Amino acid sequence: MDKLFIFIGFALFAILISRLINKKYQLEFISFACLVFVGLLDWISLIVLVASSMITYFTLFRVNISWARLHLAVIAILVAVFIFFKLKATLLNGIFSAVLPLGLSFYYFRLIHFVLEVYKGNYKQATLREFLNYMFYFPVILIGPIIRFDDWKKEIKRRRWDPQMFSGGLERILYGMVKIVILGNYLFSYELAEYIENIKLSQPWMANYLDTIRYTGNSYMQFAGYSDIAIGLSMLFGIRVMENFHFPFLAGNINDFWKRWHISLSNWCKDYIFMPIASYSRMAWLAIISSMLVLGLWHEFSSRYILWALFHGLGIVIWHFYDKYISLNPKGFWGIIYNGICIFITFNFVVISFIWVKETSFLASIKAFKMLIGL
Amino acid sequence: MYEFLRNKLNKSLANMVMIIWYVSLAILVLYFLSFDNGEFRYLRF
Repeated sequence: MDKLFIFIGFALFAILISRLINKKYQLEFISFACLVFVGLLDWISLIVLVASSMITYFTLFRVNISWARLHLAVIAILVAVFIFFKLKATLLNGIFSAVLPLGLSFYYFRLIHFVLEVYKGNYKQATLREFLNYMFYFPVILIGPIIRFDDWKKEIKRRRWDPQMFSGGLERILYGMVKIVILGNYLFSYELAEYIENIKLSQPWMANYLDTIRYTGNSYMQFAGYSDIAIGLSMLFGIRVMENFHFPFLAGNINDFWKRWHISLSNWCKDYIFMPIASYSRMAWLAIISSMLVLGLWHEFSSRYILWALFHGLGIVIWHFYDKYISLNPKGFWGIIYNGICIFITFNFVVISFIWVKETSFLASIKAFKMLIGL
Repeated sequence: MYEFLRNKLNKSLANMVMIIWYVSLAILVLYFLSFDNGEFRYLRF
Protein backbone atom coordinates (compact mmCIF):
# COMPACT_ATOMS: atom_id res chain seq x y z
CA MET A 1 0.00 0.00 0.00
CA ASP A 2 2.89 2.33 0.76
CA LYS A 3 4.10 2.25 -2.83
CA LEU A 4 0.62 3.08 -4.11
CA PHE A 5 0.61 6.20 -1.97
CA ILE A 6 4.11 7.07 -3.12
CA PHE A 7 2.93 6.69 -6.74
CA ILE A 8 -0.19 8.82 -6.25
CA GLY A 9 1.70 11.43 -4.22
CA PHE A 10 4.59 11.66 -6.66
CA ALA A 11 2.31 11.78 -9.72
CA LEU A 12 0.05 14.39 -8.11
CA PHE A 13 3.03 16.53 -7.19
CA ALA A 14 4.52 16.23 -10.69
CA ILE A 15 1.19 17.04 -12.37
CA LEU A 16 0.58 20.09 -10.18
CA ILE A 17 4.12 21.38 -10.74
CA SER A 18 3.77 20.79 -14.49
CA ARG A 19 0.73 23.09 -14.48
CA LEU A 20 2.97 25.94 -13.32
CA ILE A 21 5.50 25.70 -16.14
CA ASN A 22 5.23 26.65 -19.81
CA LYS A 23 2.60 24.50 -21.60
CA LYS A 24 5.14 23.63 -24.29
CA TYR A 25 7.27 21.68 -21.80
CA GLN A 26 4.58 20.24 -19.53
CA LEU A 27 4.50 16.84 -21.21
CA GLU A 28 8.31 16.57 -21.13
CA PHE A 29 8.22 17.44 -17.45
CA ILE A 30 5.71 14.64 -16.77
CA SER A 31 7.85 12.15 -18.71
CA PHE A 32 10.95 13.27 -16.83
CA ALA A 33 9.11 12.91 -13.50
CA CYS A 34 8.10 9.41 -14.60
CA LEU A 35 11.74 8.50 -15.31
CA VAL A 36 12.81 9.87 -11.92
CA PHE A 37 10.05 7.94 -10.16
CA VAL A 38 10.85 4.62 -11.85
CA GLY A 39 14.58 5.20 -11.32
CA LEU A 40 14.13 5.94 -7.62
CA LEU A 41 11.97 2.85 -7.07
CA ASP A 42 14.08 0.47 -9.13
CA TRP A 43 16.96 1.60 -11.33
CA ILE A 44 17.11 -1.73 -13.20
CA SER A 45 13.53 -1.15 -14.39
CA LEU A 46 14.52 2.28 -15.62
CA ILE A 47 17.40 0.84 -17.66
CA VAL A 48 15.22 -1.94 -19.15
CA LEU A 49 12.37 0.40 -20.10
CA VAL A 50 14.55 3.19 -21.51
CA ALA A 51 16.80 0.76 -23.42
CA SER A 52 13.77 -1.06 -24.90
CA SER A 53 12.23 2.21 -26.11
CA MET A 54 15.43 3.68 -27.53
CA ILE A 55 16.46 0.47 -29.32
CA THR A 56 12.92 0.07 -30.73
CA TYR A 57 12.70 3.65 -31.98
CA PHE A 58 16.15 3.80 -33.55
CA THR A 59 15.78 0.37 -35.14
CA LEU A 60 12.41 1.32 -36.64
CA PHE A 61 13.30 4.76 -37.90
CA ARG A 62 17.04 4.73 -38.47
CA VAL A 63 18.13 1.27 -39.62
CA ASN A 64 17.98 0.77 -43.36
CA ILE A 65 17.05 -2.87 -43.98
CA SER A 66 14.00 -4.78 -45.27
CA TRP A 67 10.85 -3.29 -43.72
CA ALA A 68 9.00 -6.53 -42.86
CA ARG A 69 12.06 -8.38 -41.54
CA LEU A 70 13.01 -5.43 -39.40
CA HIS A 71 9.62 -5.30 -37.70
CA LEU A 72 9.59 -9.03 -37.24
CA ALA A 73 13.02 -8.85 -35.60
CA VAL A 74 12.01 -5.99 -33.29
CA ILE A 75 8.82 -7.76 -32.21
CA ALA A 76 10.71 -11.06 -31.69
CA ILE A 77 13.24 -9.28 -29.45
CA LEU A 78 10.52 -7.48 -27.47
CA VAL A 79 8.53 -10.68 -26.99
CA ALA A 80 11.71 -12.56 -25.96
CA VAL A 81 12.61 -9.91 -23.36
CA PHE A 82 9.01 -9.90 -22.10
CA ILE A 83 8.95 -13.70 -21.77
CA PHE A 84 12.38 -13.69 -20.12
CA PHE A 85 11.29 -11.32 -17.35
CA LYS A 86 7.90 -12.96 -16.91
CA LEU A 87 9.49 -16.42 -16.60
CA LYS A 88 12.12 -15.05 -14.25
CA ALA A 89 9.38 -13.53 -12.09
CA THR A 90 7.45 -16.83 -12.02
CA LEU A 91 10.51 -19.00 -11.28
CA LEU A 92 12.05 -16.67 -8.71
CA ASN A 93 8.79 -15.54 -7.14
CA GLY A 94 9.40 -14.70 -3.49
CA ILE A 95 13.19 -14.94 -3.72
CA PHE A 96 13.89 -11.48 -5.06
CA SER A 97 11.63 -8.52 -4.50
CA ALA A 98 12.15 -6.82 -7.85
CA VAL A 99 12.46 -9.49 -10.53
CA LEU A 100 9.96 -7.89 -12.90
CA PRO A 101 10.67 -4.38 -14.19
CA LEU A 102 8.02 -1.92 -13.02
CA GLY A 103 5.02 -1.73 -15.32
CA LEU A 104 6.65 -4.13 -17.79
CA SER A 105 3.42 -5.82 -18.92
CA PHE A 106 1.63 -2.57 -19.75
CA TYR A 107 4.76 -0.92 -21.13
CA TYR A 108 5.74 -3.76 -23.47
CA PHE A 109 2.24 -4.17 -24.89
CA ARG A 110 2.20 -0.47 -25.72
CA LEU A 111 5.62 -0.84 -27.31
CA ILE A 112 4.53 -3.84 -29.41
CA HIS A 113 1.38 -1.91 -30.44
CA PHE A 114 3.57 0.95 -31.63
CA VAL A 115 5.86 -1.34 -33.68
CA LEU A 116 2.90 -3.11 -35.30
CA GLU A 117 1.19 0.14 -36.20
CA VAL A 118 4.42 1.51 -37.73
CA TYR A 119 4.62 -1.73 -39.73
CA LYS A 120 1.06 -1.15 -40.97
CA GLY A 121 2.17 2.26 -42.21
CA ASN A 122 0.76 4.38 -39.39
CA TYR A 123 2.73 6.69 -37.10
CA LYS A 124 5.54 7.03 -39.64
CA GLN A 125 5.85 10.69 -38.72
CA ALA A 126 6.21 10.01 -34.99
CA THR A 127 9.15 11.93 -33.56
CA LEU A 128 11.43 10.63 -30.82
CA ARG A 129 10.04 13.29 -28.50
CA GLU A 130 6.44 12.19 -29.11
CA PHE A 131 7.37 8.54 -28.81
CA LEU A 132 9.18 8.96 -25.49
CA ASN A 133 6.41 11.16 -24.10
CA TYR A 134 3.92 8.45 -25.03
CA MET A 135 5.97 5.61 -23.60
CA PHE A 136 6.72 7.44 -20.35
CA TYR A 137 3.31 9.00 -19.83
CA PHE A 138 3.29 8.98 -16.03
CA PRO A 139 -0.38 8.22 -15.12
CA VAL A 140 -0.46 4.93 -17.06
CA ILE A 141 3.13 3.74 -16.70
CA LEU A 142 2.57 1.26 -13.87
CA ILE A 143 -1.08 0.24 -13.91
CA GLY A 144 -2.40 0.83 -17.41
CA PRO A 145 -4.71 1.13 -19.28
CA ILE A 146 -2.82 0.12 -22.44
CA ILE A 147 -3.49 3.37 -24.28
CA ARG A 148 -2.99 3.69 -28.05
CA PHE A 149 -0.57 6.16 -29.57
CA ASP A 150 -3.11 7.81 -31.91
CA ASP A 151 -5.74 8.24 -29.16
CA TRP A 152 -3.11 9.71 -26.86
CA LYS A 153 -1.87 12.08 -29.55
CA LYS A 154 -5.40 13.30 -30.27
CA GLU A 155 -5.93 13.99 -26.57
CA ILE A 156 -2.62 15.86 -26.35
CA LYS A 157 -3.74 18.19 -29.16
CA ARG A 158 -7.12 18.70 -27.47
CA ARG A 159 -5.61 19.29 -24.04
CA ARG A 160 -6.48 22.50 -22.21
CA TRP A 161 -7.17 23.67 -18.66
CA ASP A 162 -10.59 22.37 -17.68
CA PRO A 163 -11.54 22.79 -13.99
CA GLN A 164 -14.40 20.31 -14.37
CA MET A 165 -12.05 17.66 -15.67
CA PHE A 166 -9.58 18.44 -12.89
CA SER A 167 -12.21 17.99 -10.16
CA GLY A 168 -13.48 14.90 -11.97
CA GLY A 169 -9.94 13.52 -11.80
CA LEU A 170 -9.70 14.05 -8.05
CA GLU A 171 -13.08 12.38 -7.60
CA ARG A 172 -11.97 9.44 -9.73
CA ILE A 173 -8.81 8.95 -7.64
CA LEU A 174 -10.89 8.95 -4.45
CA TYR A 175 -13.34 6.40 -5.89
CA GLY A 176 -10.38 4.26 -6.97
CA MET A 177 -9.06 4.31 -3.41
CA VAL A 178 -12.52 3.40 -2.08
CA LYS A 179 -12.65 0.40 -4.42
CA ILE A 180 -9.18 -0.83 -3.41
CA VAL A 181 -9.24 -0.11 0.31
CA ILE A 182 -12.86 -0.31 1.46
CA LEU A 183 -14.55 -2.66 -1.01
CA GLY A 184 -11.55 -4.82 -1.97
CA ASN A 185 -9.35 -5.01 1.11
CA TYR A 186 -12.01 -4.66 3.77
CA LEU A 187 -15.33 -5.96 2.47
CA PHE A 188 -14.10 -8.84 0.29
CA SER A 189 -10.75 -9.71 1.86
CA TYR A 190 -11.64 -9.21 5.50
CA GLU A 191 -15.37 -9.25 6.23
CA LEU A 192 -16.39 -11.88 3.70
CA ALA A 193 -13.27 -13.96 4.46
CA GLU A 194 -14.19 -13.99 8.14
CA TYR A 195 -17.75 -15.12 7.35
CA ILE A 196 -16.40 -17.88 5.07
CA GLU A 197 -14.10 -19.06 7.85
CA ASN A 198 -17.09 -19.37 10.19
CA ILE A 199 -19.18 -21.54 7.84
CA LYS A 200 -16.28 -23.59 6.45
CA LEU A 201 -17.02 -26.69 8.54
CA SER A 202 -20.81 -26.55 8.57
CA GLN A 203 -21.31 -25.60 4.87
CA PRO A 204 -18.19 -26.54 2.88
CA TRP A 205 -19.78 -26.10 -0.59
CA MET A 206 -21.13 -22.64 0.21
CA ALA A 207 -17.79 -21.67 1.79
CA ASN A 208 -15.93 -22.75 -1.35
CA TYR A 209 -18.38 -20.88 -3.62
CA LEU A 210 -18.25 -17.70 -1.51
CA ASP A 211 -14.47 -17.88 -1.34
CA THR A 212 -14.34 -17.89 -5.15
CA ILE A 213 -16.75 -14.92 -5.24
CA ARG A 214 -14.55 -13.20 -2.65
CA TYR A 215 -11.45 -13.68 -4.82
CA THR A 216 -13.24 -12.59 -8.02
CA GLY A 217 -14.78 -9.53 -6.36
CA ASN A 218 -11.52 -8.50 -4.77
CA SER A 219 -9.58 -8.87 -8.02
CA TYR A 220 -12.18 -6.71 -9.77
CA MET A 221 -12.03 -4.03 -7.06
CA GLN A 222 -8.23 -3.98 -7.14
CA PHE A 223 -7.92 -3.81 -10.94
CA ALA A 224 -10.78 -1.37 -11.41
CA GLY A 225 -9.53 0.76 -8.50
CA TYR A 226 -6.05 1.02 -9.97
CA SER A 227 -7.52 1.89 -13.37
CA ASP A 228 -9.64 4.62 -11.75
CA ILE A 229 -6.53 6.09 -10.13
CA ALA A 230 -4.64 6.09 -13.44
CA ILE A 231 -7.59 7.61 -15.32
CA GLY A 232 -8.04 10.20 -12.54
CA LEU A 233 -4.38 11.20 -12.58
CA SER A 234 -4.53 11.57 -16.34
CA MET A 235 -7.63 13.77 -16.04
CA LEU A 236 -5.73 16.03 -13.64
CA PHE A 237 -3.20 16.50 -16.42
CA GLY A 238 -6.04 17.26 -18.85
CA ILE A 239 -5.98 14.03 -20.82
CA ARG A 240 -8.87 11.58 -20.90
CA VAL A 241 -7.61 8.03 -21.34
CA MET A 242 -9.79 5.05 -22.24
CA GLU A 243 -11.95 3.28 -19.67
CA ASN A 244 -10.72 -0.15 -18.63
CA PHE A 245 -13.80 -1.62 -16.92
CA HIS A 246 -17.49 -1.18 -17.63
CA PHE A 247 -19.75 -3.12 -15.23
CA PRO A 248 -18.31 -6.51 -16.25
CA PHE A 249 -20.60 -8.50 -13.96
CA LEU A 250 -23.66 -7.24 -15.84
CA ALA A 251 -22.45 -8.96 -19.02
CA GLY A 252 -25.05 -11.21 -20.63
CA ASN A 253 -22.49 -13.59 -22.13
CA ILE A 254 -18.78 -14.32 -21.89
CA ASN A 255 -18.03 -12.47 -25.13
CA ASP A 256 -19.73 -9.39 -23.71
CA PHE A 257 -17.81 -9.87 -20.47
CA TRP A 258 -14.49 -9.44 -22.31
CA LYS A 259 -15.79 -6.20 -23.83
CA ARG A 260 -16.29 -4.91 -20.28
CA TRP A 261 -13.34 -6.39 -18.33
CA HIS A 262 -9.82 -5.03 -18.82
CA ILE A 263 -11.01 -3.45 -22.06
CA SER A 264 -7.62 -2.06 -23.15
CA LEU A 265 -5.98 -5.50 -22.91
CA SER A 266 -8.82 -7.40 -24.60
CA ASN A 267 -8.87 -4.80 -27.41
CA TRP A 268 -5.11 -5.24 -27.80
CA CYS A 269 -5.51 -9.02 -28.07
CA LYS A 270 -8.42 -8.62 -30.50
CA ASP A 271 -6.42 -6.32 -32.82
CA TYR A 272 -3.01 -7.97 -32.69
CA ILE A 273 -3.73 -11.65 -32.00
CA PHE A 274 -7.33 -12.47 -32.91
CA MET A 275 -7.65 -10.52 -36.18
CA PRO A 276 -4.37 -11.68 -37.81
CA ILE A 277 -4.87 -15.34 -36.83
CA ALA A 278 -8.55 -15.32 -37.84
CA SER A 279 -7.81 -13.74 -41.22
CA TYR A 280 -4.84 -16.02 -42.00
CA SER A 281 -6.24 -19.32 -40.72
CA ARG A 282 -9.98 -18.70 -41.25
CA MET A 283 -10.46 -20.61 -37.99
CA ALA A 284 -12.19 -18.38 -35.48
CA TRP A 285 -11.83 -20.92 -32.65
CA LEU A 286 -8.05 -20.98 -33.07
CA ALA A 287 -7.91 -17.18 -33.02
CA ILE A 288 -10.06 -17.06 -29.88
CA ILE A 289 -7.99 -19.66 -27.99
CA SER A 290 -4.71 -17.97 -29.06
CA SER A 291 -5.96 -14.53 -27.96
CA MET A 292 -7.07 -15.86 -24.61
CA LEU A 293 -3.73 -17.64 -24.09
CA VAL A 294 -1.83 -14.40 -24.73
CA LEU A 295 -4.24 -12.59 -22.44
CA GLY A 296 -3.70 -15.17 -19.69
CA LEU A 297 0.09 -15.25 -20.05
CA TRP A 298 0.18 -11.46 -19.97
CA HIS A 299 -0.91 -11.73 -16.33
CA GLU A 300 1.56 -14.40 -15.35
CA PHE A 301 3.61 -17.15 -17.01
CA SER A 302 2.15 -20.10 -15.14
CA SER A 303 0.05 -23.21 -15.69
CA ARG A 304 -2.78 -21.73 -13.60
CA TYR A 305 -3.16 -18.74 -15.93
CA ILE A 306 -2.97 -21.05 -18.97
CA LEU A 307 -5.87 -23.06 -17.55
CA TRP A 308 -7.79 -19.87 -16.74
CA ALA A 309 -7.25 -18.61 -20.29
CA LEU A 310 -8.26 -21.94 -21.88
CA PHE A 311 -11.39 -22.04 -19.73
CA HIS A 312 -12.41 -18.59 -20.95
CA GLY A 313 -11.38 -19.37 -24.53
CA LEU A 314 -13.50 -22.49 -24.54
CA GLY A 315 -16.40 -20.52 -23.07
CA ILE A 316 -16.20 -17.94 -25.86
CA VAL A 317 -15.99 -20.64 -28.57
CA ILE A 318 -19.07 -22.38 -27.13
CA TRP A 319 -20.92 -19.07 -26.90
CA HIS A 320 -20.14 -18.27 -30.57
CA PHE A 321 -21.46 -21.69 -31.54
CA TYR A 322 -24.62 -21.08 -29.51
CA ASP A 323 -25.03 -17.57 -30.95
CA LYS A 324 -24.66 -18.82 -34.52
CA TYR A 325 -26.85 -21.95 -34.45
CA ILE A 326 -29.24 -21.76 -31.50
CA SER A 327 -29.51 -18.21 -30.13
CA LEU A 328 -32.82 -17.63 -28.32
CA ASN A 329 -34.00 -14.06 -28.33
CA PRO A 330 -37.27 -13.76 -26.42
CA LYS A 331 -38.98 -10.37 -26.15
CA GLY A 332 -41.00 -8.64 -23.40
CA PHE A 333 -41.35 -10.28 -20.00
CA TRP A 334 -39.59 -13.49 -21.07
CA GLY A 335 -36.84 -11.36 -22.52
CA ILE A 336 -36.18 -9.83 -19.08
CA ILE A 337 -36.16 -13.29 -17.47
CA TYR A 338 -33.86 -14.60 -20.23
CA ASN A 339 -31.41 -11.67 -19.79
CA GLY A 340 -31.39 -12.23 -16.03
CA ILE A 341 -30.56 -15.92 -16.52
CA CYS A 342 -27.81 -15.00 -19.02
CA ILE A 343 -26.23 -12.56 -16.54
CA PHE A 344 -26.44 -15.18 -13.78
CA ILE A 345 -24.79 -17.87 -15.94
CA THR A 346 -22.04 -15.50 -17.13
CA PHE A 347 -21.34 -14.32 -13.59
CA ASN A 348 -21.00 -17.90 -12.35
CA PHE A 349 -18.86 -18.90 -15.30
CA VAL A 350 -16.45 -16.05 -14.52
CA VAL A 351 -16.48 -16.84 -10.80
CA ILE A 352 -15.72 -20.52 -11.47
CA SER A 353 -12.91 -19.56 -13.87
CA PHE A 354 -11.16 -17.73 -11.04
CA ILE A 355 -10.72 -21.04 -9.20
CA TRP A 356 -7.82 -21.77 -11.57
CA VAL A 357 -5.93 -18.67 -10.48
CA LYS A 358 -7.09 -18.48 -6.87
CA GLU A 359 -5.53 -21.72 -5.69
CA THR A 360 -1.76 -21.95 -5.40
CA SER A 361 -1.41 -25.42 -6.97
CA PHE A 362 -3.02 -27.28 -9.86
CA LEU A 363 -4.22 -30.10 -7.57
CA ALA A 364 -5.86 -27.64 -5.19
CA SER A 365 -7.62 -26.00 -8.15
CA ILE A 366 -8.93 -29.36 -9.38
CA LYS A 367 -10.15 -30.21 -5.87
CA ALA A 368 -11.94 -26.86 -5.48
CA PHE A 369 -13.41 -27.10 -8.99
CA LYS A 370 -14.72 -30.64 -8.42
CA MET A 371 -16.24 -29.60 -5.12
CA LEU A 372 -17.94 -26.60 -6.70
CA ILE A 373 -19.59 -28.62 -9.49
CA GLY A 374 -20.61 -31.28 -6.98
CA LEU A 375 -18.22 -34.11 -7.91
CA MET B 1 -24.34 12.79 -8.50
CA TYR B 2 -23.65 16.51 -8.13
CA GLU B 3 -25.97 17.38 -11.03
CA PHE B 4 -28.72 15.27 -9.48
CA LEU B 5 -28.33 16.99 -6.09
CA ARG B 6 -28.23 20.42 -7.69
CA ASN B 7 -31.50 19.75 -9.45
CA LYS B 8 -33.17 18.33 -6.35
CA LEU B 9 -31.72 20.76 -3.76
CA ASN B 10 -30.22 24.21 -4.21
CA LYS B 11 -26.61 24.80 -5.28
CA SER B 12 -25.09 25.62 -1.88
CA LEU B 13 -26.77 22.65 -0.21
CA ALA B 14 -25.62 20.37 -3.01
CA ASN B 15 -22.07 21.69 -2.57
CA MET B 16 -22.19 20.99 1.15
CA VAL B 17 -23.53 17.44 0.66
CA MET B 18 -20.76 16.75 -1.86
CA ILE B 19 -18.04 18.04 0.47
CA ILE B 20 -19.38 15.90 3.34
CA TRP B 21 -19.52 12.90 0.98
CA TYR B 22 -15.90 13.32 -0.18
CA VAL B 23 -14.53 13.99 3.31
CA SER B 24 -16.34 10.94 4.73
CA LEU B 25 -15.01 8.74 1.95
CA ALA B 26 -11.47 10.02 2.52
CA ILE B 27 -11.76 9.34 6.28
CA LEU B 28 -13.10 5.84 5.60
CA VAL B 29 -10.23 5.13 3.21
CA LEU B 30 -7.71 6.19 5.87
CA TYR B 31 -9.50 4.13 8.52
CA PHE B 32 -9.58 0.93 6.42
CA LEU B 33 -6.02 1.22 5.14
CA SER B 34 -4.71 -1.42 7.53
CA PHE B 35 -7.06 -4.13 6.18
CA ASP B 36 -4.73 -5.35 3.46
CA ASN B 37 -4.16 -9.10 3.43
CA GLY B 38 -1.55 -8.87 0.66
CA GLU B 39 -3.46 -11.18 -1.72
CA PHE B 40 -2.95 -8.81 -4.63
CA ARG B 41 0.42 -7.52 -3.56
CA TYR B 42 1.88 -8.47 -6.94
CA LEU B 43 -0.25 -5.71 -8.43
CA ARG B 44 1.50 -3.26 -6.19
CA PHE B 45 4.60 -3.15 -8.31
